[in-house]
Amino acid sequence: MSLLISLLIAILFAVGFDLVLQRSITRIILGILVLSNVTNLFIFVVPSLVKSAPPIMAEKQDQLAGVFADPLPQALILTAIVIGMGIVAFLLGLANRISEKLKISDIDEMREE
Amino acid sequence: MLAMGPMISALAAGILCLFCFRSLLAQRLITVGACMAYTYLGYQLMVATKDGALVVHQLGSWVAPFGIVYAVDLFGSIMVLVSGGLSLAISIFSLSALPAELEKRFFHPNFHFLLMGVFGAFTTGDIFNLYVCFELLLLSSFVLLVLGNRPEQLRASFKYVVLNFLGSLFFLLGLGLLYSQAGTLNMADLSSRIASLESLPTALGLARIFIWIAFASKAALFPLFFWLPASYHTPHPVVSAFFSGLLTKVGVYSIFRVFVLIFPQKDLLGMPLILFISLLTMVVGVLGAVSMSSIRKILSVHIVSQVGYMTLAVTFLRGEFLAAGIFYLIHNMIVKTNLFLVGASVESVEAGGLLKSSGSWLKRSPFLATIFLLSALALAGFPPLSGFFAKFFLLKLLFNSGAYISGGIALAVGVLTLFSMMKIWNEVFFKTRSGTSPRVSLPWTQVIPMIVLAGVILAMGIYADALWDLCLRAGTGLLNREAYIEAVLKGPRI
Repeated sequence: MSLLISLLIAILFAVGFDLVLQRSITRIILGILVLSNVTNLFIFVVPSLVKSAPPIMAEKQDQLAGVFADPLPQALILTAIVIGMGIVAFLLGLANRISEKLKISDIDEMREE
Repeated sequence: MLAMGPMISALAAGILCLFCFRSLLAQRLITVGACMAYTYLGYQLMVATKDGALVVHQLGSWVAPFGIVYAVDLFGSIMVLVSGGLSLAISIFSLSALPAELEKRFFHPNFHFLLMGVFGAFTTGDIFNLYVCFELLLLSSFVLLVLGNRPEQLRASFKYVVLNFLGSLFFLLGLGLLYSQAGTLNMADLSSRIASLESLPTALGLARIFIWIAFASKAALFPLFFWLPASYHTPHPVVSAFFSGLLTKVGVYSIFRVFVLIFPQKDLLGMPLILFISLLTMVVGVLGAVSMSSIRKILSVHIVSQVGYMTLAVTFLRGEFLAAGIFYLIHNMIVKTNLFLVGASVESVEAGGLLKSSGSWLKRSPFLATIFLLSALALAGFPPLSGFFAKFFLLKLLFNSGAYISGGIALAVGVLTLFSMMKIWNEVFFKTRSGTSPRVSLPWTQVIPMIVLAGVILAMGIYADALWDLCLRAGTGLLNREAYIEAVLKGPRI
């Protein structure tokens, strides 16, 4: 399971970086979307995956026993998702303005005159 | 509660400004008032921490290392005080320099939200919180950067957003690895687990490299500084001044904090790498600055070179060196902002501030010329100004500890700094321009901040020994990991 997800993360990172390195503005934004999400997946997986053991205490228990999933990475991801979404939303607005005002969709035309 | 004071008041001021978005007068009053409050809170923090004590606040009474903790030491409070003071100067300056249509487009709320990120970064004791504060100030800086919507701003912002996003991405990756290895994100807890390791295991080493990439790109170190020369000259000059004093300095602060507290290892990818990158940054930055063609471009590329001096000081991991770095940081924040303010005043009359087309400013405004000369000489390191002592302390330490190459490079870069400043002086102020050059009279809201900052630059030179004393305490306090860990993990539970 871990190996499979690690492979998935590797592939997604490759896809994300490939997209970011392209010239089209839309693809760069898509790349950023992929990268910010695969980073979240990465944080989710690195502290080792635990299958179907949520960190929830049963009634009248005052301590979690046995193996349970670490809740902290999930809290971190929750924050990171919101931030990533904010940045992508801003970028989309910016790209919209760029195509309206500058009429370009290619990063090469963005060079300073 | 004092530890979170600056951050919470910035949040409150930003929200208040949003509520008053119809009334510019109300927003201006809130901004100036809030900036006074930041300065006051920074001063209070400094008074509370000046004897080496830490101001700690455990958020929501969740005890560290499980909850988020805010911990301010002398270094952090000095940074809050200086950035609070600079924000006050800039907010007064912006009253007359910033066109009303820009102010109406949410300049004020974003100004405060950016400061919230800055103060949060200076006061937090939790490394994930540091990341959140980075993002907070980045998102506000995106908005401030495109304020006005001119084509060159749109071009610059896209590069700025994408490159800074990649920096943050590495930060997040580093944090994931760090958490998986150390099981904590509290900086004091991390320090107690990692700082004593002689060499790092692979995963932690990777986390350190990722975090280093993130900080280096925020602080604009070679070779990750390209977002800075691409963007800093495009927004309104007041926004540039605001960015120049604060943004990269948060990156420098984080390098000081995290690499002293958590990663002080001296293996090849630790301190020697920082040393090497710092030297390259100094040289490349100043060479870039010399080749630029407008006031703001020279000044902004020059920021890169100055950052190198500060990170150089970290690599020796000694109290005196850190003190010299902190002295340099304070000096640079104030001087750079003042230079950008002069540039903003020039550009308010002469759009673009191109060296080629401007001139005669010595006659047009002797006041501006004086302020510029004073700040430029301070930056280049002339006695008795602040920059002389900033360089003097650092160079003395470098030569005394046998780092002759670093010292030599620092000296040579100083000469080139003088050259780049003289380039602006000759072209903008000294050169006589053909045609009429009417005298320019500046509004008092622009004059007063510049005079006050110039006064601070002079005072920093005259009272250099007192300030050095303070920096030395901040530097040794920063290096004193045990005290930090003790205060955060074993201090009184609130």
